[in-house]
Amino acid sequence: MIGNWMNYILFLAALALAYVFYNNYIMFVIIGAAIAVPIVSIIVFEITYKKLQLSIVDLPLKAGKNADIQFGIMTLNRTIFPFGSIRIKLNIKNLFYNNQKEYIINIPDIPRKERKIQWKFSAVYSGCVRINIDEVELTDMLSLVKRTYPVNIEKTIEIYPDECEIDTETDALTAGAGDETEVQYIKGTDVSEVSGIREYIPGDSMQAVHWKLSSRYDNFMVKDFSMPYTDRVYLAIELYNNPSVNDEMDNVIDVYYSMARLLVKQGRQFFMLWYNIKTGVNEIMEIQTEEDVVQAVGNMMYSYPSEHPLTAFEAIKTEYPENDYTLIYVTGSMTGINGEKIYTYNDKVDVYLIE
Amino acid sequence: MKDLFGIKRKRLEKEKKESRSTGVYVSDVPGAGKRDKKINGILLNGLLNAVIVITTVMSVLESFKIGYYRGIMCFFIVALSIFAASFYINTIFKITGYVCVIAGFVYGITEYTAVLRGGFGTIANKFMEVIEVVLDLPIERRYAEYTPNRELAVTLCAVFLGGAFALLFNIVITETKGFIIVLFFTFPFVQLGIYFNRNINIYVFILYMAALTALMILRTGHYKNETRKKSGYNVKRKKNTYEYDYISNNGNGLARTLRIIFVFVIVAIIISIIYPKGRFDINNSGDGMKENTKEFAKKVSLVGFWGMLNPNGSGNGGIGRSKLGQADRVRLDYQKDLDVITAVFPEEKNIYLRAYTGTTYEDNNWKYISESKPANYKPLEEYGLTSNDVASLNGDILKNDTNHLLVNKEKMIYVYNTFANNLFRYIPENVKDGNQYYNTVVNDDEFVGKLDYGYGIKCWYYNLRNDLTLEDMKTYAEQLKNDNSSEKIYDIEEKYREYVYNTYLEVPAENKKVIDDILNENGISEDDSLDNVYKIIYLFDNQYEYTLMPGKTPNGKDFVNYFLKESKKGYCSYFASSAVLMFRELGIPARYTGGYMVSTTDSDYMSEDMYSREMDESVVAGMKKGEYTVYDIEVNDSDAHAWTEVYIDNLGWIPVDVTPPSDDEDTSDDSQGIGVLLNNLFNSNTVESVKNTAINMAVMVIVLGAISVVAGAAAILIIKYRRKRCLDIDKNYRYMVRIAKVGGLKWNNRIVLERLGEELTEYDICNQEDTEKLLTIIEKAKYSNTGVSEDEMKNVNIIINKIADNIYGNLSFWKKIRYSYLF
Repeated sequence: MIGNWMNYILFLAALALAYVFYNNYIMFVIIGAAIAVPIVSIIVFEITYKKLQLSIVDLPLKAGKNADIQFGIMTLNRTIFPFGSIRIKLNIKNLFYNNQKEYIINIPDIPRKERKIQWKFSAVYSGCVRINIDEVELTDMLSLVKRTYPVNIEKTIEIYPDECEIDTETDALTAGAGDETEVQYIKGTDVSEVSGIREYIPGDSMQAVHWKLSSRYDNFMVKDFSMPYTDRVYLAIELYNNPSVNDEMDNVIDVYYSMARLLVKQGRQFFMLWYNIKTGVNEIMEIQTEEDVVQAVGNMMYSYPSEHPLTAFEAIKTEYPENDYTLIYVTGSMTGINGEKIYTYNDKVDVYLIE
Repeated sequence: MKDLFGIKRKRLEKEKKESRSTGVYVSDVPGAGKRDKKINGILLNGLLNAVIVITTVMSVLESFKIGYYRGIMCFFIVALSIFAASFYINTIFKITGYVCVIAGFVYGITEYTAVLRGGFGTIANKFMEVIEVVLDLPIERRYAEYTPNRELAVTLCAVFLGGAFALLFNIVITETKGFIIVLFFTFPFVQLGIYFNRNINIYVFILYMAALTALMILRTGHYKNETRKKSGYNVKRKKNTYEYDYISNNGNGLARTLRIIFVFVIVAIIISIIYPKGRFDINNSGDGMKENTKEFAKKVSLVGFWGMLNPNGSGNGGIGRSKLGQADRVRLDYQKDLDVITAVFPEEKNIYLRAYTGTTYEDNNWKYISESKPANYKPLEEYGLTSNDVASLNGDILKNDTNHLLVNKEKMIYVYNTFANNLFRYIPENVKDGNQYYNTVVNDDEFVGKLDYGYGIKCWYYNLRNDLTLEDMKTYAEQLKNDNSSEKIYDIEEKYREYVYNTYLEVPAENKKVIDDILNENGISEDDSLDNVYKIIYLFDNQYEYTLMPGKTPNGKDFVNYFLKESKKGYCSYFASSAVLMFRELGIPARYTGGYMVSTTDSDYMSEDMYSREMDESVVAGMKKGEYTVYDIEVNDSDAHAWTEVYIDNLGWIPVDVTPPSDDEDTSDDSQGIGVLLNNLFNSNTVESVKNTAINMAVMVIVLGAISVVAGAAAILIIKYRRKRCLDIDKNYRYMVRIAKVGGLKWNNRIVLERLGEELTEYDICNQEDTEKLLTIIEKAKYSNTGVSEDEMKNVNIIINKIADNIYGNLSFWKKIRYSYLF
């Protein structure tokens, strides 16, 4: 900005010098024009600076962790007067973890022409990622003055967890899952026990694909195995985020998501349960299909994690004091939980069975 | 390469940590929109360059009405500008392009030297014609214009000059859209016509302004550095924020530039309709500033570069004795040569300070008797005289003039040599007491005494009445003699008179005929009267022109004859030389005199001498302090003068100024007098002059050199002081890389840190502990998003200073001296 003023002042000084030697009216015209141009520029700018259209486009709604996510920042100056530059503060924030990164993007303006800046990023953690532009800073066509005004443009994208392989020897997870024949059904050897047919969703086992039906439809069709359950099963998660170790909660979510999918594949009906520190309630969602799992995890991403360990566990115990249910509790490594540790993932995540 | 200090691992961890902490990883940022076409950049830069250069060249040529082929010039400059802009396609193009163009220039200059010189000569001559008139410069500088087609030569010259500009601006415009450099280089040329009251072409001027405005607007936008980034943006990291600065699209820049030019052209058309003549009329306001700058420009052109540098004047100011007619003009420095302190009275004559006299006119030069003896010359001794006898003849006679028949005032004068030629003394006429000049006079016409810079002489002299004619003086002198006939001085005068009549009436044969013709033509013939002196003065006043730029006397021609018969214009030396020979031809003993004529009426150069530094006693005979005013008179080159002295019987040599009056004060006589030191050095005719000039130059070079050394040393000390305390890690890092290169390590700013660490320890430049600490902090500064603390910055500075000391200690002696500024 200072450099631009210097340029302009030198330009004016040169003209003034010319005028000293040559006080003809044409020099008045030129000096007048030289003085008028920035004034006009500033006035036009003051009138037009809010007429900039700014939007975030092409952002997908969902994506996996570490996948390339591409979106565009579109600018459209609807006036015929150009701005010197458009300076955008772009903020990419994972609402779940509350971590963020800020970028400043200077875009040259072309009046009455759309300009799209492409951005590509990947999210390291699952959660709800918000991309927003709080404010935009514009300069007039000579870049002599600038104005900042809020725009509050934001878009969100849900970043889904990775599915990890749950390998547990315990039979606790199959408790109350029926007789021996069920195992055969799970293996998909007998279609007569299939409770329903639905469209394929990512994460479905290939063994569950109903190939004959799939050939009739355009999409893959998979078999839903339904099994009666004997008691209430809550699959709960400890949403405790240690800001210095974001990885830990991310792993917990991965396991939680995988565990839910495993249970669905086993044909179990259960409840996904998490404690939202923001609302102070345990949020619960009945799960019958894998779509339910995806929806539940999506909802969970809008919750706020706790800053203290075992907050969720205590809240669940408080809300459900009677012991007429089975609780599968997914948490980061921590003590103070009375239950059977049925699975440990990566030395960071423990799964407890509490009956 | 092994992972020394775990640098690689640490870096990966840092990167991982950064993305882990922010949850966002930007792997790649694609460019903005569709790819910019290089052709747009070439057209934009070429167009801007061409318009600016063409309008600049045209402004000059058309203002000064220099004929040229506009179309040809425009075509070539446009072609060259676009060609030059295309160099920036890639590095190979850039190198080969510039090599080709420079080779083309060299070829053109060598192949078409004569045409180019002719073109340049034509442009320069037109320019000189104008500035000589506008600035009232006493010069006539003309260059050879020999060329079969003047317009073509000028066009070629303009293409070469414009091409050189285009090449220079191509770098500036293409790389940075550098508005200020272009403005500074072109605006003075565009202004030249306006400054010298020429008409300028409205369309050219408007186009120039349009291109300049476009450049300024592009400069303020995002157009700079576009050739350097293929990605279309620059990335800067500021703490935890990345800034992506996108570069403007050249197609857009081209469109914008064309729109600006279009608008300006429309304005130009409108103005030309309102103003139907289509050209600007100059309304010369006579503005004070304009006049002042013109005066300044005049001085610069007269004094030259060296004269401007020299605060006391340029060289051995004012007076010289070399061959006459060798300089085409008088050179003035307008600087003080002498300080003359004396009492001044309104009725007195100007003070003539004599530096030397010329007795024999030979080979266009006035010579002392010791250098060339007149035909009838007999030494003073043969007349029973010594040099001391005649050293102050006038004064010894006039001391008896108690009735003020001839004398106006008897005064003291103090002459201080500020920067006048130190080969002479500067002695007033009619010095009262000749004792101080005894033994400094050779024959009667040559003072061997000198007045060096910074010294002054003080003497009493008789200031003559200014209301007397030469005849009156002759009469009063005779009367004075009658009143004081017993005085011994009159015996001396009689003997000396005989000597004078034998010595100072010689006219060279080659001049005799010319002089006789002129005297006859004007009806002036020899008689006993001194009135003939006034007839000659009248003749000069009416038939000859006073000018400070008479041009050189052609080789082989006699200076006086050429002046009297052919050129009929000149300055004081011309008139004085001719008058002396004419007086002699008319039987009046005369001699040529050079020195300073001190005006006692030009108040511009007079100031009351407040300090009376040399005048604490009474300086006017018969008057008390307070009854007169003592002035400090500034004498400069424009007061340098040549005049004649005629001998008046019973009195002695009396100054007679024969130069016609002029607005311009008369000045020195030739090329040796004033002017450019270098010019003096190469043109001087005397060994002393060359020596003096060389000494002056040497002193100047030494002084400038000393100033440069002191300034450089001060700058280095400041830089070293600041660097030793610099906390900026990046600067410290770059400094370390630089000094390591001096120490023999092949590093650069992109060196990987592990190699840097390895070599620091391997060569014992830094110990392991410090190296680890240093690299950790540098890594942190480079890759961490948390930043480094002030203590860490100080640590880096301390360690790097240690490294610097270590490297410096191991340097060879010469390298220590050569790179002492770095350590």
